[in-house]
Amino acid sequence: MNVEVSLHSLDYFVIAIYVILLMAVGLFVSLRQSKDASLFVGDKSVGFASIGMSIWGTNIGPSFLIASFGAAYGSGMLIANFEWMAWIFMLLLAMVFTPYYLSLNVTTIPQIIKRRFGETMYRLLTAYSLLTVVVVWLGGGLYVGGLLFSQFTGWELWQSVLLLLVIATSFTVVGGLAAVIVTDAFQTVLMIVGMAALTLIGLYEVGGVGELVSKAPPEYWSLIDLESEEVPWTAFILGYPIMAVWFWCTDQTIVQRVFAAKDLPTAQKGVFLAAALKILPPFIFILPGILFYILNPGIENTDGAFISMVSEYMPVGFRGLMIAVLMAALISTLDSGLNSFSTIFTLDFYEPIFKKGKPLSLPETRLVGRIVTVVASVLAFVWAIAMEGVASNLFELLQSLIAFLAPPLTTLFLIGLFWQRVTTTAAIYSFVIGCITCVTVGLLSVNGNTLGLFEAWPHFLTLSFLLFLFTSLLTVVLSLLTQHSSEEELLPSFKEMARKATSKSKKQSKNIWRAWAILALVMVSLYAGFEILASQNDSTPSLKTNGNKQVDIPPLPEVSVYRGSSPTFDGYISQGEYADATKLSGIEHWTSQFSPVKDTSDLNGSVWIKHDGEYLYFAFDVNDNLLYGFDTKRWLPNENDKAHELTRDGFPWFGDGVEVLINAENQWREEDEELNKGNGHSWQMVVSTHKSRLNGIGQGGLLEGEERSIESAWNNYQKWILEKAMEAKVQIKSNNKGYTIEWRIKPNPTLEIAPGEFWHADMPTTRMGLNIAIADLDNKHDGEGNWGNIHHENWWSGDRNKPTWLKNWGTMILHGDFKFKTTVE
Amino acid sequence: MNDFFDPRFPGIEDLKAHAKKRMPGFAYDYLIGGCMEEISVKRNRLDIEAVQLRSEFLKPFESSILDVDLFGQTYSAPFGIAPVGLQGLMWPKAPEILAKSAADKNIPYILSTVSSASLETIAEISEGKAWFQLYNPTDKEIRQNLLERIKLAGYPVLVVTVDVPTFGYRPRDIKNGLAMPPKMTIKNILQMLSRPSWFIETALAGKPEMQTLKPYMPPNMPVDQLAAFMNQTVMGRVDIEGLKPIRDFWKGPLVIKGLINENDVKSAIELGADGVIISNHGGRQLDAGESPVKPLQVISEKYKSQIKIMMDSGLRSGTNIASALALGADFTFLGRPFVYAVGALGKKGGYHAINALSTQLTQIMNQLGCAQVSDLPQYLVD
Repeated sequence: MNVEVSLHSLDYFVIAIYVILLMAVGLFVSLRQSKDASLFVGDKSVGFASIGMSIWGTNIGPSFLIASFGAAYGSGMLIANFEWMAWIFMLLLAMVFTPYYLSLNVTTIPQIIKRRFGETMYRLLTAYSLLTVVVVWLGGGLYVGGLLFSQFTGWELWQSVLLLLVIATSFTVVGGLAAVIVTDAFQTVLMIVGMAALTLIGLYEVGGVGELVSKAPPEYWSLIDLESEEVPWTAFILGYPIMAVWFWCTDQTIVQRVFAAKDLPTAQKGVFLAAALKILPPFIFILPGILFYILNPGIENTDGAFISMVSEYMPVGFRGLMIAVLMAALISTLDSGLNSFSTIFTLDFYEPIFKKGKPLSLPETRLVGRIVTVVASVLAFVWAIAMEGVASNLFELLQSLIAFLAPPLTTLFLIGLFWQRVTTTAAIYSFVIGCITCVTVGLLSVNGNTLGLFEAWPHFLTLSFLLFLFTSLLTVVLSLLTQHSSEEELLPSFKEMARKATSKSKKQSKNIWRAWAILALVMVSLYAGFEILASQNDSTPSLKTNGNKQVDIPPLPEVSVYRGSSPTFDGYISQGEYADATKLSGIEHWTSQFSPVKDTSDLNGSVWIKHDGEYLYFAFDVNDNLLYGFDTKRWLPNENDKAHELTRDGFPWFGDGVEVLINAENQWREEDEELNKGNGHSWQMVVSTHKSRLNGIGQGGLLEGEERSIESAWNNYQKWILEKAMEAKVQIKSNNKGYTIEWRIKPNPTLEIAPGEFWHADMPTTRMGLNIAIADLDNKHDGEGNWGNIHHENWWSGDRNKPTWLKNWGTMILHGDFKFKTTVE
Repeated sequence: MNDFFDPRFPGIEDLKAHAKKRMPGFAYDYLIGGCMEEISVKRNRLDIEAVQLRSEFLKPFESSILDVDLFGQTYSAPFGIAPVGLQGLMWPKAPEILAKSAADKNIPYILSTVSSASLETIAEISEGKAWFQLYNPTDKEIRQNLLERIKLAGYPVLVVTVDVPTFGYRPRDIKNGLAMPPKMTIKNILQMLSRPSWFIETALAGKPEMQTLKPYMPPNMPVDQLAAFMNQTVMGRVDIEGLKPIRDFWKGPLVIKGLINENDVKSAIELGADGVIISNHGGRQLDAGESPVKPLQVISEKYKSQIKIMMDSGLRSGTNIASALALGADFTFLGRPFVYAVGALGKKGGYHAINALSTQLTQIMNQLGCAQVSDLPQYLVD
């Protein structure tokens, strides 16, 4: 994520305006409140619009923003499921849980559990809640937000964290929940406006809606992908509800907004507004990620994609706006976390322990609440700074954290509140055992440690579901084995409470149900719309077959190659070195001989071609997240245990590397399976990243290509390498994240366009057959089912299984001269 | 849509005023601007406004029709949409909108070489009715390729502009640092943000680029090098020798645009051109230039039988069109008014402007007692 972003004074001005406005709104609300308003539920004067926007803003933190942008960049709309499924659980909150909570007349979530299961469970839950607030809402978000802010400003992390924390704490201390909710609403508006601007500018750069639809890979539009590795659909369907019930229905930070409402209809309208606003994130948070992918594919670390887009495409002033958006995302999450920490601590910890259950006086509550808010922010500061030293996969950890924190709580609320047979003993034991199990499994799976018991952990969403099943089963079994204790109270059932609560306002409840029905329709049509988009696009790419009949035979590709400056032949592709070359980008979308590249971080990159009058140059810049022989063992394919011998028995192309095939005489018979001749007229050569003719195993370079079975071809190829008619330099990128190759070819003897006649730059424009392949060999299991267990092999021209047939090669149009005689300097 | 007329904007001036409120300043300035002190822009208006027509009431008269035969086509009105460069900058998709409404209303639309839409797109949208305006590229390869594309796309008429041997010195554009796509300076950004409907529609349509010429530009060329590129490869002086290869290649109707000197018209006739457009490029090239009003009258008297004579520059109303036709033009073109219309009314702008001008012209002809367009010279007050 180390992208330098230069800020103009106008950007700082925009940020300053945002901070001033934010503080002004926060202080205005604080001072306007009546003196005896509660810090924790406000003075019950907050309107539904503020409640709705506050829920939305609290939910969207900086790590969400960065991660969903990155996920969209890497795999498209799939990540939108987390947004467009949320309404179901917000419906549950509004129509089931909210009437229940409000009728119990409580201020915190642990208090409900206290009434149901007594003191012990109450204490446990209080502790757990405080912990989750610090971990999920305060520390993690603050760390990510501080990191981003530092990147923009060049400050130290602690300075950024401190500034953000001071801003968030200031009005939270003074104004309590009311200030938090109203400022959240302001920040929500800012986030929507700012991200909409980013989306519009992205669209502008891409070339409008039409270009977006035609240029994005069709699978990027699909919301339902059964085979996705990032978000497997089954894992999502199983695991997401577990997280969502906890997050939306039972988490203090979200539910506290509902408690602040003056009555049930206000609360319900607020939650509905938040759910309706959930339509937006895919359009303004996820779509820009897809737009940026079109503009600039090939970024390895997708977490850095957001910053890259802002720094590359946002004009002056807008960068400041985007920083303000990031700050808003953070502060609206942070202030809510601080406030709910203070609420739980004061009411569920301080009051029962230090006051021995005697009710706190109002001034005392306010004093303690304020002190605790400050203490919480100090805790958050320490935690955020501490995170800097922790493992590098912390970012990922934060993403999956909720999945592991949720199961015990979801069990407790779903089974504990809906099923009256649950006993306190069962609740306590299954909660404790559940928490320990979840945390253990969470830590192990995030680190990829399987203890040698099985091959790999399932997706974290699947794990979340399994953990939920486990704790639920435990609760049920233990309940059946134990008896109700004296301190528990069987709360009235949901049905009773809901009926009581809604009977007061029948007409209003009818209206709210109607609104939910409309929202459901909108959501279903959004899903349908995107699936149609994904499937319509699906029929355009080249290789769709209808039975055995080709529906659409794609034209073979052509590329014009011009003269350019002589590159430095060192294997590195430096800035501008190939600016005058012709670029073939998007190798990840070429015809796949083996598994198609689904996850472009697996393999992506570009090829450049030019000549300088003396040599024909091919330059490859390939990003590959796993390099065979570097990141893996040098495992052998089942088909050949001599694969790495540098003889005719070996497999030269077995590994990560590239192949170039040229048909210099540009002649072929229109027959199937006609291959190259293995001489200057037509040939196929290999550059491997991990072995070479000249330097042996371990060092990348040129190798004899096909057809090695023809002895003359083998001899020609070897001679070319040894006599440097062809040379290649390979450079592995740092951290083995890919490689670059420069490959230069002397026209004589390798481009023999007619017997004894070799191509040279003074010739008129010449057409030759050309094909290029990029191979990606990963772990053996990655290529399971493919021949040789090769993971990917992408070809510039030709259909699957036929790219080596001469008649299927593309065309290289070699121009002797520069592309533009009057080059613009 | 075809008959759309918005009574809020009966005249082109009304459209212009509304367009000013909806376009960013730099785009509006480019559209209205002229060369140097903009004297010739004003003169164009004064001269055409000075033309007078005289009615005749007592002769038998049934009705008037606007139809005109030109290059084997019958157009529904004696005016067309003149080529305007960078149209998409002034309003997103302006070329597409205007080409479509012109085709629907059966008048010619001329696509500029430096337009934001590609010639292939416009040929498709206009169902092959649009004409193409060519800045003759100095680069031979580009010229040949472009000509072949024009032919392949099926353009019926080729218009070659010859009155831009220099880059017009336009103070407004210099101040604004005009470029396409626009530079993201603070001033420009503020102008764009203050025009939200332009901003959002532009974003949805994508950044305006010279789509017809894009294939010839080096990829990722910085915006400030565009002018240099245009100068070197596309624009430049076109003399009669430069026109000959085009005449040889182009078998269809060939129109030379931008002539104002009688000698040039003679040369065009000798070349074998099929039409000329008498014009001073809307006052955008030579500030001391004469308006085309007087040359039009002289040239049409002498050469009308040998070549089609068309006129543009300074026409803003049905009255102006009638005046130009009375001076002897076979056909007229208007540029800015149609862009004002799109700026003011978006998609419906083209229809509105065509309908407004046709209505105005019909009223004038009825008032004069003139049955057909070619009879208009009889009503000129000499």
